[in-house]
Amino acid sequence: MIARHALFLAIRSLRHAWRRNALLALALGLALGVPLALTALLDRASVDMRTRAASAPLVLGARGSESDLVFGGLFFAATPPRGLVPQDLARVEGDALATAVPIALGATAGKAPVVGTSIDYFDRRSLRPAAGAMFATIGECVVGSDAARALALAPGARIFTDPASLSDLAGVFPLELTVSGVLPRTRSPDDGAIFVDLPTMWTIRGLGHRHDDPRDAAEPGALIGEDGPRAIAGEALRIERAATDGIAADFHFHGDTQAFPIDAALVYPIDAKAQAILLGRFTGKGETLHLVRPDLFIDRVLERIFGVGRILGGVAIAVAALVLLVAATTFALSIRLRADELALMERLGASRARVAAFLAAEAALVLAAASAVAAVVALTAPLLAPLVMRLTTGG
Amino acid sequence: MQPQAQAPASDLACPVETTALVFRRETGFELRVAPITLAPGGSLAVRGPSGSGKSTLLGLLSGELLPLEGEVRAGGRLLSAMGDAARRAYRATRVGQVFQTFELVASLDVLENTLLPFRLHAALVLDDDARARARELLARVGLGDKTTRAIDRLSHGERQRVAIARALVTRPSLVLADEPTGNLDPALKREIAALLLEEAKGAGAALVVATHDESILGGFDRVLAIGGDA
Repeated sequence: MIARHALFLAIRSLRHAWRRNALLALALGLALGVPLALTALLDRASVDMRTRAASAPLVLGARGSESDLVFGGLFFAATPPRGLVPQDLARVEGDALATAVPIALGATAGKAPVVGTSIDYFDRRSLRPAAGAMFATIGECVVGSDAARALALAPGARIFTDPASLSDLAGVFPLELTVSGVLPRTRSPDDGAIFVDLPTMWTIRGLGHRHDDPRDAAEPGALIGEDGPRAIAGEALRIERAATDGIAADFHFHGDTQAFPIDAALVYPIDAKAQAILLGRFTGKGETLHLVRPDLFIDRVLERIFGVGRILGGVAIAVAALVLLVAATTFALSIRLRADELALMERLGASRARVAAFLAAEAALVLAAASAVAAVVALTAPLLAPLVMRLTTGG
Repeated sequence: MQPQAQAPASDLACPVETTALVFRRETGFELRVAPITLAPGGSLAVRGPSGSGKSTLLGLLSGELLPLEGEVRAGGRLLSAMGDAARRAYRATRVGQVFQTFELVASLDVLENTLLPFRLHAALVLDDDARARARELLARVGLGDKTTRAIDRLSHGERQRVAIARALVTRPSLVLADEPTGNLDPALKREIAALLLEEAKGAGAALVVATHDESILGGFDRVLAIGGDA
């Protein structure tokens, strides 16, 4: 009974000054929620990043920045040092110590990174399109779930690659891609990427195209000479780079594709011994390639982030303590402002315990509302983990 | 102070009865009052200038203060022999109070303010009967159509009417009013004083009003002057 009446009076009292009390609950909630949110967010982000790092035992790339290699090759968020080519993969695959999955970057579509790779990439991750099918020919792509949602892509849809890329000063020409499938959500950088096969990637990067035989071309000046069976094309020859249906087969590359650029390779050794052998293989002086363990690298990065996180957490806790102090002062002040009201209750026969119960009910209700705010903040914070991952990896 | 614990509790014929009282504060303030006896429905005006001790006397009658000398009996029970909890219970259940500054709770509406005593003491049960009595009293004091109105949207006269309804809602045997007309316009003073007298009498409660306002003394059974001069 006491509790019911105390609660009734407390609710009425809080409602009477609802703006102040709502503000108080909000401030308290945020003060309590932010440190919790920070912890939850960093935990989630670190789990996601470690999981991603653990998904490839080794990453192969050209010598240079280790972080660009890992953040590029695994997180599609940086540009690895240039210099890796398909024939380099033989150095890890050659004696059956490992399999390697190529990763070619350097283009975007609708701001989403376009990743050139092989079907093995998806087999390694046990990734199958949730809708549609895997890419099969040049010009087809499969889209990560977030990218599909953001760009409103479904199987059968078309999207142009973005016309320019800072990472390629030679210029990247737009190529129209056809969405063959959409991948399921994985809570990894795969969700935000658009995957194509290597030939498509090279086409986007201007290394592949289609055109009519200059001898059959309608354009005057398309054929400027013949050298036996070879036709010499003139500048007037119309080069088509859009991979529309039915012409994919005409796409071709001039030059040796084994020397075409890739940016990284995910390397899967057959066992720990093979891994040790492979790691030793790329330590020589004058070595142009680099084989790194992404898990160790990410551990080092996270250590740094958690160092910063701990400082931020300390600040957040200090702020929370301050806000608690201010809230307590505010509450004490509100009690003093209502001294008349409380005195009246006693004059009408209320015991001190009854008056205290009324005030306690008020404080409890404010704290309950603050806790709800804190819970919402702390529980929604991990949703920002992909953002933290992107910021960390430099995307 | 006599240790006279047992008292004839059945003696309800006399809502309040005192011997000569002496009360003294540490500040040196001293109040001496002649014996008071009030029958149910009886009324007493306590008259005197500000600072003469009128409020103190009401405090002695409600059990908020205890006299240095003399005895206060309520319904035959000696207040000074009761513990603090018992005196609070007495105040909550047997005494109705009206104050100069109305003392209504701003966060509660008219009906909720009227029923406030029921939320403050376990001896009072907030039931349908209490609610019906509160509505009836509000109708009697002219606020039947304003039961859900916020206090800050009432005039001073209306506020004191709410306070009167609140003082009577617990069916007290004694109503204490401290300058109940002190914050009211002259035209309202007599109206409120008459209402207080009428309602207390109608409810069978003894009424003690502390006032320095000569104009409202007319309807009281007795006038007690304190503070030396009169």
